[in-house]
This record gives sequence, structure tokens and C-alpha cells, in this order.
Amino acid sequence: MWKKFLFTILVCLLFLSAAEFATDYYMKRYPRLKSSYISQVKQNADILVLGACEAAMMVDPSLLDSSTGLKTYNLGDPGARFADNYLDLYQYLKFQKAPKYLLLQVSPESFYPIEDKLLTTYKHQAFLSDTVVFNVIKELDPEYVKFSSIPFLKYSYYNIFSMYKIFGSIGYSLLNKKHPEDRDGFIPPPLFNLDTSALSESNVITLNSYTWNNTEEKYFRKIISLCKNRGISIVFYKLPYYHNYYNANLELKKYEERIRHIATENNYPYFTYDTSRFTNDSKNYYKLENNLLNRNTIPEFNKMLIRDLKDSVFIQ
Amino acid sequence: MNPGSLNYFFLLIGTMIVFYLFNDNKLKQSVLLLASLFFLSFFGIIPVLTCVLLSILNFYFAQHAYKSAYNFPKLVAINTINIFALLAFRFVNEFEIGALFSAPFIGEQFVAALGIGFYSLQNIGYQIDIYKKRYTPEVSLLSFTLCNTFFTRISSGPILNIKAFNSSLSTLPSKLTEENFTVGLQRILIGAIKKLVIAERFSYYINLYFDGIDPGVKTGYDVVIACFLFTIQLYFDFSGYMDIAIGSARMFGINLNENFNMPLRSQSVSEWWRRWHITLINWFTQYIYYPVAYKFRSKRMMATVFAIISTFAISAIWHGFGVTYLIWGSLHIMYLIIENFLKKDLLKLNEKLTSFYYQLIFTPLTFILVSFSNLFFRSNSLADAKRLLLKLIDWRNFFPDISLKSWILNGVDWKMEFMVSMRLGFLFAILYLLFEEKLSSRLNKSKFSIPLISFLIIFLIVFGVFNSGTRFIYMNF
Repeated sequence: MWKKFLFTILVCLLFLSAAEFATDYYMKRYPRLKSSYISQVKQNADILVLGACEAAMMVDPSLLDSSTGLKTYNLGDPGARFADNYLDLYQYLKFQKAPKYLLLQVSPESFYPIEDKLLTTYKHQAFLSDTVVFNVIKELDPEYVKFSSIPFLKYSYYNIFSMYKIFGSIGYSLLNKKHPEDRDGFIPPPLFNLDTSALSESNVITLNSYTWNNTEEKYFRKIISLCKNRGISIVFYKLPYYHNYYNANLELKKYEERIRHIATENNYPYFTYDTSRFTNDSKNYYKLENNLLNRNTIPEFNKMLIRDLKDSVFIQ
Repeated sequence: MNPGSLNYFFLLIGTMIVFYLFNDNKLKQSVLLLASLFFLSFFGIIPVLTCVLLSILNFYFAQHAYKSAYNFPKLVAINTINIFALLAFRFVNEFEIGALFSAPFIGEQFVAALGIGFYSLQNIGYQIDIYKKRYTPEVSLLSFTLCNTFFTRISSGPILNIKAFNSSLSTLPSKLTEENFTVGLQRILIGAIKKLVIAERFSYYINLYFDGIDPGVKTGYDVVIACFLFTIQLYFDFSGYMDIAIGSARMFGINLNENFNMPLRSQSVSEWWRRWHITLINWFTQYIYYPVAYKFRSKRMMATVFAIISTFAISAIWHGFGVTYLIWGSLHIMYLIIENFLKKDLLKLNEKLTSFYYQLIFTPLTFILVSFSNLFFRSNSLADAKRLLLKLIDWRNFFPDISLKSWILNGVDWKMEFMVSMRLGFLFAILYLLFEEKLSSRLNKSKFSIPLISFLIIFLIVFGVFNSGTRFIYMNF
């Protein structure tokens, strides 16, 4: 019996080794996973956009390209926190030439405590062998790191996400597609409008119990120091909050001042858009989000961003 | 420590190694008891103390009462203590975290005394059996305590017959036989697959629908899907736990009772209850249904009605104090009473239609009825259940406002990873249910099959969802 059992284990180990090798291969080549895409395809961007889904969905590189004559790549990633931004930037600089400017989305809400690790740390699992990536993930998601140290279980922990990406990557590979649909990293938001009743009820309550997260600040400062080391100029920008929401939360203004202080300390500009004309109308926003504009309003926001960039950054 | 977690398997393997080092039966039992207390200690000192103290109390009380004529007041006294302990911990469990009308269904909530719902019933049944002189009292405190604390099954059952379990303890094997190892391993693997490959893939949507997280339930269609998915999830979660419990016990040469017999194939609600959570229903049948039916036997049909009402009312309270559980229990009472009144007509219909057509109509119907009752079972509060019901009866907006093509490609949610995962889980669930009978008999065969076990291990690791850390649902009870 024990001989049979050991033989079974051997069969499983062989199969799982092959499966992990194939998974690694496909994960690192999946064009829709930005950290994988930038490790495979040269971008040569002059402006790099960094942030969470708001950055990915609201800054349109094609508009920036045509207005500034500089090439832009949007590295914004849905669900990303500063730690993810730091890892994405680290990955980008590892495989690409350094951009001239980094357009970094920094809002008071960016300093929320890291609770939803599930949505972010899995994106870096293919690069866990890199010590920088490993150390960050170890700090943010120790359970995953512990689990992934068991042979052949690196992709099992976040199976729901891994499986989807592996199938996707195999699909892209079979179709011989090397690029995602949005090559410049811009992800246009779906065409929905804001549900004001849901917004005013739930989101205000969330912010009242919100505290400044030091881990977020740590990785925010790491991004700054990484850029300083590589000679990249940073521009901070804040999202145009829906005014009812913004006015109801004094905390937002308090933390905004803290961000402005960090910006001034490092001599970086900080653009804010709270008094824009579209912040008064909830219909300009994407469903349920108080800081994410919808498709119709995004070009206007980009125009304002480009104007500010031209006026106070590129002019220097 | 979750059964099915890595820590659990380390404990299992460690216990097996020490267990088979000894030849002495008492030492083997002591090893199992220590492992069980160690397992319980992961949930705090209170579960350990509660379980041990109640075991000691029941053991000595039965012995003493038996010697000095076990009368009815004594039975009432000891079972008042057992019921009081059970209700008190239920009370603490639910009122610690919420209120009568609102308590989270599952999560990382406080567990006051793990497994008390299960071993309290064992102890109550034991005292009744001794009182009725069906058995003589147990003579070994070690085996009695082990029966209550046994770590493979304490958190969610199966409910044991103390006498039968203890007689199996007297013949613990000295060596790990091929039969015990093979059957045990196969059952553990299939249990882990049921939980991690199938049930866990539904968690995201079920939590989304029932816990009202954005975007939550939007249409009646979502409610129907939520109820169906939850019934399937509950089956795979609970029977997955049972497989792990039975398989783990088998590693020590102990045979635990089966708790499920393909319930999703039931053609009536009464059949459902003969196939679902069998040991609990057997307990209720033996200690509540039969005595009540006997008491009112002169009332003929009404005796059955009273027995059904008593059984499911107590079953609902056993599951929790929430009003939603009472509604769940009431629905099953209603189903069973109607079925009882229609029994003759249904038999005639079965004769008229062939077995195939009868099954084709009544199996989905039973599933729908049970799933509807589970809307209340799973809802966190009466308000949540009402919210879902209102969506369900809103016929004008029953279907989501998307094209069929979009539904096929994207589902009703934009979180593609979860949608694909849920559909994959659903596919596996259907495949499992189609081959359930064959697979069950194959898994109970004692011949070690390299292809089968390799397949199960690989399938588990490749398709298992290991990150959720959600407890087994019935650990709540």
C-alpha cells in the first residue's frame, strides 16, 4: 500500500510541477494583466499615469498624447493601493525606460486602511520570486505568502483570479494576440449614471470612521523616493469629488491638507478639481461612485488636467 | 482551526502517527482525546471546559441515577441542564453579535461553545436511553468524553449514538490497514473537493445576494439564483465536511454514520428529510416525532401533524433563535403536512406516470420548495428576507435588463473572475450530481487506485479555492 501511495505522490508531483511551470509561463504573458504586459512589451512612455481604478478609467492617454505631444501610458489598476502602485512602478522601471513625468492619483481615500487585500495582492503572484515583490506581499498578505511557500500551491490560494487569467492568457496565446484591447492602459468606464440615494447613505458613513493608514503612507513615500532616484518628476492630482459628498465629510478636507503638505515638502504640484462645474451634478458620475466620472464627462476632466499640466509642469 | 484547513491535516497526520505507535486500546483513546481537546482549544478555553464538564456531569449522573432507580424527575433535571447549556450558548452566540431579528448568518463571528448543538443532543439522547433502560450506563469516562469531543466530527456532527460509538472504540485497529487508509483518504479528498472546488466558488455570489453588498440583488431572477445556489452550496459544504469527518475517523478505524444520501435527488420534502442531515433527523424522529405521535395516537391524522409541528419547531429553535429560522421551520411543517394529506393522490400519480416522468416533475419541485425555504434560512434578518421576497414577486422587473448574449458572455455582474468561477463551480456540481451514485460507491471501495487518488489530489490542487478561509456553514450550529 505504501509503495502505491508514494507512487501516487510522485505522479502528482510530476503533474503539478508541469502545471506550475505552464501557469507561470502564461501568467507572465497575459496582456490584460498590466504587470505582465509591461514586462513583455516596450512602452517608451514620457508620462506614466499611476493610481487605482479611478486613474485607469479617468485619464485617457490618447487625449494627453494629442495635446502634449508626449507619449502616455496608463498604469492605473482597479483595486490598487499605494503598495500595488509601488510594485507596478517598480516592475515598470525594471523593464522599461524611466518616464519623464509620473501623474499620480492621490486622494484622501487613497489612505484608507488596506482591508481588501484579496483584490490586489494576487496580481503580483507571478513575480513573487523577485525579492522586492516578495517582501511587499509578505508585509501586506502574510497568509498568502505562508501558503504559497508550500510547493505547487502558489496559484491555488487565489484560484478564482489565477484560473481566469490563465484561461485568458491561453486564449490570447491561441489567437496570437500580444496586446490588450486598450494598449495605452486606459479602461473606459461602463455607461452608467450615479445612483445618488445609494451614495448619500453608505459612503458618508464609511468616511466618518476612516483613519489615516500609515502603511499606505509608507508606500506612498516609497513611490516618491523611487521616482527621485530615477529622476522622474511627480505630479499629484485629486479626483473631482461629487460636491454633496465632499461637503458632508470634513475628514476629506483635513486629510487633503496632509497630502498637500507632503506635496509641498517635496516640491510637487497637487491638482484638485472640487469646484469644477460637473461636481455639482450627480448625473456626471459613474454609478455609485462619488469620485469617478462617467464616460461623457471624462473628456472634460482630461482637458482640465492637460491645461494644468501645460500651465504648471511642462512650461517649466 | 477549520476542518479541511492545512492545520487540521497536520493535526490529523500527527495524531495518526502517535495513535499507531501504541497498541494499548486505552492509550489510543487517550491520544484521540488529547488531539480532540487540542483541536477544541483553537476555539478558546470555553469550548473545552463546556464539553468536558458536560461530559463528566452526564457520565456520572447516568451511572448514579441508574444505580439508585432512574426516575422521571431525574431525567428532567439532567436534561434541563443540557438544554439550558445549549440554549445559553446559543443565546450568547446570537445576542453577542446582533439581535433577535438580525444576526449575520456566517462569518468570523463569535463561537461560544463549538459543537454544543451536536453533543448536547447526544447527551440528551443518552440520558433518555438510560432512563428507558434501552442501555446500561457507560463504564469508561474516557470513551464517553471522547464520544462528545472527537475532533473529526465535533464541529458539525454527525450526531453519534454514544453506545454504538463506544463499542467501536473497543476494537481500535493496531495497524493502519489498506482498507481504512484508502477509504479514509478518498473520503477526505472528495470532501475537500466538495468544499474547496465547488461550495467556495458560490460564496462570493451568495454573500453578495444575501448580505446586500453592492450591487446585491437587483431582480427576482437574482433571488431565484441566490436561493438555488445556496441550496447547492449548503449541500456541498455540509456533505463535504461530513466526508472529511468520516474519512478522518476512518483513518483511526472508526466508522461514523453517514449523514447524507443524495438529497438533491429527492422526489418529496419528506424524502428530502430522510436523505438530508440523517443523524439529526433520526435523533428528532426517535426522541420527539415518535413520542409525540404515540402520545396523540388516538387522534389519527392529527397525531402526525402534531409530531411534524413539534419536530420542526424544535429543529428551527435548535438552528437558532432568529425569526427567519422559525419561518423556515414553518414552511417545512406546511410542506410536510400538505404532503401527508396528499399522500394517497401522490401514490396514484406515481403509478399513473412512469417513474421517469414522476422524477422529472417532483425532483425539481422538491428542490424549488427547499430552496425557497432556504431564503429564510440564509437571510441575516427578517428585513433582508422581506427585501428578497419583494424582489421575487416584482414580476415586471423579474429578469435583468440585459440581452441574452450579454447574459451568456458576462452574466449579470461585471466581476468576470467571480462569474466565471461560479459557473465553473456550477458545472462541477452538476457533473458530480450526475455521477454521485457511482462515485459514492467507488469511493467506499478499499482497493487503492493510483489513477483515482492522483486525479483527486491534482483536481483539488488545480481547482481548489483556498483563500476564503470561510468556516463550514454548519459550524454555526
